[in-house]
Amino acid sequence: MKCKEMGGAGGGNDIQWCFSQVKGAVDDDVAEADIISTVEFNHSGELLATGDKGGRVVIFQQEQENKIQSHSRGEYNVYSTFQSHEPEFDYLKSLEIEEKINKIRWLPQKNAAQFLLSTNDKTIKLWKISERDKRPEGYNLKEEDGRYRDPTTVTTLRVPVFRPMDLMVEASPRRIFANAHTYHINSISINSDYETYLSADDLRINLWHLEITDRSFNIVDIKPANMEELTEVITAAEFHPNSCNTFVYSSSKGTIRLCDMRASALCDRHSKLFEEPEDPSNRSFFSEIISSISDVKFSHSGRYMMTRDYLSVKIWDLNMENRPVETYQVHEYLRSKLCSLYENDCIFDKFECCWNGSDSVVMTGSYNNFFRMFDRNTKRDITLEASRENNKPRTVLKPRKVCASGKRKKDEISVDSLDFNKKILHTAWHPKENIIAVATTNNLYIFQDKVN
Amino acid sequence: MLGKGEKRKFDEHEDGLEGKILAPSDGPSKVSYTLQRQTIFNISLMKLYNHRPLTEPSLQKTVLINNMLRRIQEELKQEGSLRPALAAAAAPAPPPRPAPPPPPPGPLSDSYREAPPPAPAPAPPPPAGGDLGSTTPLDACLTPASLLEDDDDGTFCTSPAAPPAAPLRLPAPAPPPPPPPPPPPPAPEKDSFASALDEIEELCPTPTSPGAAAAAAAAAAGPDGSRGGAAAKPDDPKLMDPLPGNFEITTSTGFLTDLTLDDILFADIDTSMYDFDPCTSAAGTASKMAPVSVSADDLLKTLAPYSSQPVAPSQPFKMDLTELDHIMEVLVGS
Repeated sequence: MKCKEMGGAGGGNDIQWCFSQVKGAVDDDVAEADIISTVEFNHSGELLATGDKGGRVVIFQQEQENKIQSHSRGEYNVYSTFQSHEPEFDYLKSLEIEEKINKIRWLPQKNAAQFLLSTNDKTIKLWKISERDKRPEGYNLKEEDGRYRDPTTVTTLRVPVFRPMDLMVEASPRRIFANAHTYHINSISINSDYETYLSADDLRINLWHLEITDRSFNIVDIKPANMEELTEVITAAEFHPNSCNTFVYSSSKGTIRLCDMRASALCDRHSKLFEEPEDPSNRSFFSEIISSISDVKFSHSGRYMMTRDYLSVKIWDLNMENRPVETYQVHEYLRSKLCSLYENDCIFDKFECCWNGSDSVVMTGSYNNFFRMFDRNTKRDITLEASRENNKPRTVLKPRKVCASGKRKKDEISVDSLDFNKKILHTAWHPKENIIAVATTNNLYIFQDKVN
Repeated sequence: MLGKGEKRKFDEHEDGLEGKILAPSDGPSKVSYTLQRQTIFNISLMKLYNHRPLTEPSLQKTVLINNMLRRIQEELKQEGSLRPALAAAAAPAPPPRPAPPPPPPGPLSDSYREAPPPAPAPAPPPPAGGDLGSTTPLDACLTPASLLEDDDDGTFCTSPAAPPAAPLRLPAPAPPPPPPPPPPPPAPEKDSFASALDEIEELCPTPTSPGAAAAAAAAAAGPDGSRGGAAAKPDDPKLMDPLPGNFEITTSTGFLTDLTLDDILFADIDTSMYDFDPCTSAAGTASKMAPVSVSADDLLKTLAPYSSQPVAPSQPFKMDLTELDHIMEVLVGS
């Protein structure tokens, strides 16, 4: 069903997005530890991981429903919860190290267990998540409740057997990659060789082998000899999805550098520099700050990459460095509010962005719990809201519109009534299906397209 | 908000601080451009010095705010205006410029009445933000500055230990130094200022956060900062690494060398300010400063009296000392 006035986005047909689930506390009183700080689907989309400010990781698993019979795709239910990072104290600097999970990245599944990397500001951990649905019973020296039997009472011997038990999901830390970052880690990215990964902080990028925790190679170092001359920091980094020698990193000045690890051991000199010249008509005091890139993501194909700065999303062709091939305005109406947003620090908010599985639609968050999708083919965009008001399953989300100035139409929201405390920084798109996970401050919303 | 005379019509163009991006060449919005720039400058300083985190402040945020301050400072320099109080207050500094830009041509009074040729033409390009209205004509600071044209240097001699207050005092860039532009004598200024900062340092307990520690160390000496800068190695993160705060150490002292002040300015400083905790913390010991959330509106309100009142040249300084006290009270929240 085409609804032109709704401006649906998604592939060749217009998608209608429906509410599916919401996770998290209902009340408005947000506990700081519950603030969601990262969201990530695994490679199959069956698992959805979230990290929060309290250092916890919660993994949801999609139920494998009979798709012919069900109205919708399987629901996501809690699969595992564990404390990934604890707060630490840096005694040298007299500062706390936050336990907030900055990023989670899944490894592709190789056996029955699942592996993911989670990181806070300083330490990366490799977690193994495994299922246990059998347990041994019939020990000779132990009772079933665990008490030890007096050996002298044992008259016969038996072999313990495995019996089914309630499914238990265990998470155990398998590797801890610590003490390699002086500054705050903002990105981790697993290489397509599935053996190495990179971690990036404000000034350096390190290359690790997943098996080796006591050594990492520094591949990018932009720290100036004289810190007084520091004017630019690294904001995000990612490996190319197919070329294991290629990665990109973005900066606070709006540039993206593509580096080839074959060129030299230290990739301080980029192979390509992606930068769009500034539009002189939009110049302001805040030009630099709003050009700072908060997220960079390769397309699944590896041909394009997407960057998110404060006001827009840009799609770059890796073969063209001087300008993006597509630019989408996320919330241009904020351009006249930059001074206030600078004052209340909102201008420093780091929005992430993501691709859909076919690289035809991109999504990113905004304020007032709005999120935006841009269809690259139809050039249509849509604004939706993550709100508990629409929380009946299969309720189709109504497109939202922000009225920048002038007369506000019915159902539109004026810029001044936007709630800047309700920001959607983290979104994720299922790698294969039209299922999206959208994180508000402390709630995780799952939406899917309407299945008829 | 802007008050009397011709400036009243500026209100129509003002949307608080918002509204369209102000092009410096717009006639009526020049003062609002300057006002906006000043407010942004103040906000930036507040962000740097008021932050009292338990965790390390975001380096990205610090760098961006520092770049903002540098850009504004460069712009002010290019306008040929000397804002010594602002200059002293601003911790971040660009790398030393090869030469200060020459003053605008003509006598001071003339330069404010007519549109002068673009000052930045002979000046070296600024580091990061020269594209930001680099051709701001001097009549951007027209009306208030013309009232200050006969000020002696004492006008700008606000306590360098009170940076948030000092910029508030000056609604417009100060007139350029009397020709010829005195090349900055870094040694004597540094001594007088550095020794004043040493005084402050003694008054304050050792701050606990590195930002504060670093900023406090700024009072000690520039070389300390550079020592901090050389400390870290990538493979030994346990060393005390140059932090954002350290970044401020060197920049603040580096900045001082750029000042084109002479000793007269510092001689007039009322050192009783240094006993003020907020002053000392404003000078660099961030931990002493009570966290103050001053909205842009508040800053504008404090700015307003200065921009609107036509004051006799000799008066601003006297008036401002009492107002300075008041402002410091507001900032301290006591």
